[in-house]
Amino acid sequence: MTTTEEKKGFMEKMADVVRPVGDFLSNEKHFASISAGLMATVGISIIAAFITIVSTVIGMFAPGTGVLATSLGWEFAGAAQVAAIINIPYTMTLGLLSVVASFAIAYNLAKYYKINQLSAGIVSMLMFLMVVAPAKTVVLADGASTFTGLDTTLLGGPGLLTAIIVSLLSVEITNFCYKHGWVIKMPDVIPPFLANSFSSMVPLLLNVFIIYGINVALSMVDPSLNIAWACNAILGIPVNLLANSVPGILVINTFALLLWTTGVHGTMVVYMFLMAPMIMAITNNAALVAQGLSPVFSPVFLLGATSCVGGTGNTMGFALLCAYRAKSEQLKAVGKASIVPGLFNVNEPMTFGVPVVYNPIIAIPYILNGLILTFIMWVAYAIGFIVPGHILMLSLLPIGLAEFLGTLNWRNAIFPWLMIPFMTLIYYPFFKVYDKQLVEKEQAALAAAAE
Amino acid sequence: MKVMLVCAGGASTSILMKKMEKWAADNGVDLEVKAYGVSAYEEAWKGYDVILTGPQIAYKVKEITSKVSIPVAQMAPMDYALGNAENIMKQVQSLLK
Repeated sequence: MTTTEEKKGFMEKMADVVRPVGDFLSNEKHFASISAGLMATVGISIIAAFITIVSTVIGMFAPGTGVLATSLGWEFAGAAQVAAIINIPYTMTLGLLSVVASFAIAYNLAKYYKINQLSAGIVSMLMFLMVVAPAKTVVLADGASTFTGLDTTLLGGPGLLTAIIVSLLSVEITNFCYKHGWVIKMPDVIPPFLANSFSSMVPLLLNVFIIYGINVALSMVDPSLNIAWACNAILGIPVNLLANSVPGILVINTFALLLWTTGVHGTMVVYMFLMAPMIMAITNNAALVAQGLSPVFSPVFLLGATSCVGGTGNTMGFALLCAYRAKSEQLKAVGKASIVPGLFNVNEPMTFGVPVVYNPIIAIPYILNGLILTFIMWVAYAIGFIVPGHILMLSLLPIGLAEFLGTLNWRNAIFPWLMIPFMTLIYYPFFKVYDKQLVEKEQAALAAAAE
Repeated sequence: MKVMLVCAGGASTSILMKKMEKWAADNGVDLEVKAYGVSAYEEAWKGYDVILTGPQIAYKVKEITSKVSIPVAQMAPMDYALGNAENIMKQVQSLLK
């Protein structure tokens, strides 16, 4: 009804190509488990972000180092110590993010295989710890006393790729055991919780044998090699090619927007793949900021350029155009319904009401503006107008707020607002053409009804 | 009547949820409606009469249908976009027949 018939063939041909890819990526069990597992870490990262914000603010009052202490003389003698105390819950949540992920990814994948989720999660988490943080005993500086500890380097963001691979591999091994009946079965009189704890014994043993075995084998080739190294080397190739390069992000952003024009939630699909690099880049920056250094730019931060100005396709200005400049009843109604959600970066009313879906005229500015904004944002990072994020913010928030909370920088907050006029301008000519078409259709419908 | 709305994150359907609640109150219809993200419906669907999905997760409809034992249907894009509670309630009625 609302699509343009003469070009419908092209859009549908494209949808035939793009849509199955999106469907596959969002339904495939391993990808879906990674995504669901990483989503389980979001709550933790938000609390960690809140803690960072509090400790950053308190740190501003530290004599000699704090911004407020040095500039305004607002000193608080114990500020640095208080900030350090507050920082512990941060270190022990975000700093253990990959441990949580190794459990949660396995837990979700086990659900697809219909095997015991709890024991699959536990086995996976133990395997991850075993290969990335084996307990080591070191002799302390006094030369006599010793200390045994786990190396935490890979337990947070930096170990995420390893956590993903180890948990998928671990569940495959566990599932293999279940499918081949390699589990110790208890008589029915044994209560299920007890029987379950026995059932994970053989899978754990085989997991140790294979995963820890690979780790030992690698270290025998060269002491510096291990599973974490292998995972980063293997997964690092696609990640660096796509997520850590500006052309790669342009391709990803185009793909996400293309998917949306066929009605698939494109941002959710690509986010499944970019969540891990995003978490890694931000936790890396969090560590830099904690040491008093500047956060560094990563191309994955440009992902937001597809949707930061009023939802995917940056439709805030387009919604205003529809509400106040449209002549067709359809666009007027859709525009008015879209303004308030748009302020919260929610734009499904636009996507399905204009609609953007299967609409080649609107698809052009919808995709184009995301790519142009990716470029502008890159320049804005390069000249230092906006700063790279160091606090993980994955929730849907009003325009500018996530950018502010992720960086605590006011310029990041106003950046999307500054982009509204520009994004509106890109939509304007296409809006005019489409609005005119709709008016003609509406008049034709009226004339037909009057006859 | 209990209606479950499902979209990607539960954000855009929560807008619709408010509109449907208002419509039900205005028309004296006994209606309980709640918005869920696609990752949360599975734990919560029991006790609902029907599931309606947003058009952006059309590719999930088959999966959702296979996991629940109540009717599942996708909302019409335009009704969804404009929050046309009346049309959506008509759809609910036809599903429950």
